[in-house]
Amino acid sequence: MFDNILLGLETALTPLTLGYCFVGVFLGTLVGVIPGIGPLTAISMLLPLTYHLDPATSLIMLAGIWYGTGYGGSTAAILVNIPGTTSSAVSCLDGHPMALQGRGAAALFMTSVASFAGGMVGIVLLMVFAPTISEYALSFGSAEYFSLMILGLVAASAVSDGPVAKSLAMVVLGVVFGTVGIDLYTGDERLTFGILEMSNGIGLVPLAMGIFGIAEVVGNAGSSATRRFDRKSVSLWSMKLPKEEVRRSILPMLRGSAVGSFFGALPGTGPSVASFFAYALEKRISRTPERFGKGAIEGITAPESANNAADQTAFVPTLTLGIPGSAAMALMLGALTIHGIAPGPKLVTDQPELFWGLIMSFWLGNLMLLVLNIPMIGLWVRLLLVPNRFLYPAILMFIAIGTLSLHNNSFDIWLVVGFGVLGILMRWLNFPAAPLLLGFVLGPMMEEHFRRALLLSRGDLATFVDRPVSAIVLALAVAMLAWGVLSHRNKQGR
Amino acid sequence: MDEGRKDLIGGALLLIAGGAIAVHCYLSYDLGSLRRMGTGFYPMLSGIALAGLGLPILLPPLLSGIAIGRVPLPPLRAAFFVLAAVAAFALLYAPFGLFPAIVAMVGLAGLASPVRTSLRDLAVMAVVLCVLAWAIFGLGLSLGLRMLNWPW
Repeated sequence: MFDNILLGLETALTPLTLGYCFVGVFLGTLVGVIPGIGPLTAISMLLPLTYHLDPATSLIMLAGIWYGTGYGGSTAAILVNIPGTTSSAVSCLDGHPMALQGRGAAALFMTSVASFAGGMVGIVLLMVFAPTISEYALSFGSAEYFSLMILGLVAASAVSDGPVAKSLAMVVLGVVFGTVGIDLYTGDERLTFGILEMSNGIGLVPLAMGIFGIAEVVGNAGSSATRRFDRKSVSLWSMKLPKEEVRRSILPMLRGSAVGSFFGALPGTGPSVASFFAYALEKRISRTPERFGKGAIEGITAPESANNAADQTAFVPTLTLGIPGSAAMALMLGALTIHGIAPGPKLVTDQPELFWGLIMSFWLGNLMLLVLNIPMIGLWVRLLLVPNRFLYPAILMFIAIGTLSLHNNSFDIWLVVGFGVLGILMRWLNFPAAPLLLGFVLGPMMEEHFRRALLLSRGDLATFVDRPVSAIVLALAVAMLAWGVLSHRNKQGR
Repeated sequence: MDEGRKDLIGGALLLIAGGAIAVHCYLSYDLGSLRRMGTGFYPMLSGIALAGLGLPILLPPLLSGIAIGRVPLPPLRAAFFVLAAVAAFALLYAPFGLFPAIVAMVGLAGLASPVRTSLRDLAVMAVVLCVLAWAIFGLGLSLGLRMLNWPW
């Protein structure tokens, strides 16, 4: 272990690698702050830039963008209620109310600290438990994966404030959108309605930009365009936190880091599920759950440490098994393959300098982010002082160009318009948008495992309850569902 | 009251959309068997689930006997102009390039707010955003986006 750490530091501490690590985390934060441009766009935009770098350096830079957007994304979520990234969607719930109460700077400060704490825990766990976790996950079959994804989606639905049926309906709607395109098993097109561009499936970016970005711009442009906070509230002075809030954040940060590390390491579930789960957990065990959604500090520190821990442990399945847990991880694997490195179980032993160099760069990158972010909060906060009617055309432009840059094709922008209509409709009818995105991402993976599990069991549905791990996970999901339904009923009865 | 009426609309929409998807998959695609599923099996299942989830949303307000009536509308003016701004960008980019698309977008987005933005402010914003787009996406990231194009 000690030799490995030294080897990793040797790779990560060269001036060139350090420089690219900095470029990665800085661009990641910037792009994360700009709503509508997530890590996917940023990583794919910078992928060509890494062609001439060595594999370790390019992976370090791309990874820097990945966890850098986590930091930046929560900034956008808190300040303008548009999650810069999916995993920071949950930070809108309590972070934005804090900003509205004039505690925006304090919320951002705690976010940075929580993200750093989560990242640290994630890295340590990644280093210590990577072999154990990967071994454990190796014993999972398709039935277990399917059940785990069901649990993740049910848990996410139980978080939403509204009725569980509404969030679940949005999950399923996301699954439906995920099925559009070519069926990988049979090679036939489905639900494309003869549109050529649809055969590749619906892009994650246009979907997210439509249901989040456009809906948010419309929701705010319609209101009178006066500022929603006073200037003093976002000064550096307002960053001061009551001691009690800091103390109240310590345990949620630890719990969030644990939840995040667990979900990050599982393929399919990643920082988004982790942050939703951590939020749900805090809300459930809190003695004052009614404070959540109205600016509770635990409502940001728990999910923020969870998604950053997950950002780090997400590399476990990606690097040790060659299974990307998310689209962003798939891009990382793509970068490896470009350099002629086959991802898989042998990567850790065949390319130790790459594996350990990457892990060591996580320490350095997270440290840079902490140092970079706290003095920059004033700058991000100044974004808020730009009136809505000036800010929103700029956001629309970034949404349009960001989408355009994916394939250099106007069709994706039309998709944004379509999903914008859906997002506005959902907002009007009080349907939550985050579960839709989650269903959309997990849907295709669930289908794959569902079909494979049934293929292996010769069409016997009992396979999902016959296998002990799968049965336990499904039972947990059922319990979670009952819990969600009952607690909502209680809330209404009160 | 408004909540119940909105749930009625939302539940009904889910029922219709889910039903339509399920029927479409049933009629147009190969379903296969549980063991070897065809193209349409999983989407059909999703459609059925969607329609099924429409029921617990639709039924409570229906059973409690909520009268049909007016519901508050979404912000139509903002919705129209924001969507028009994005659509204008999509229409103008391919033939004319990024700058005209941005100018049209700024103009239309400016109409979305009930507060009027002066022509001078709009012009300044359009110029600033064009320069920003050129600096970030053209110079900085070199995405190969066309800034100006003359189609004829």
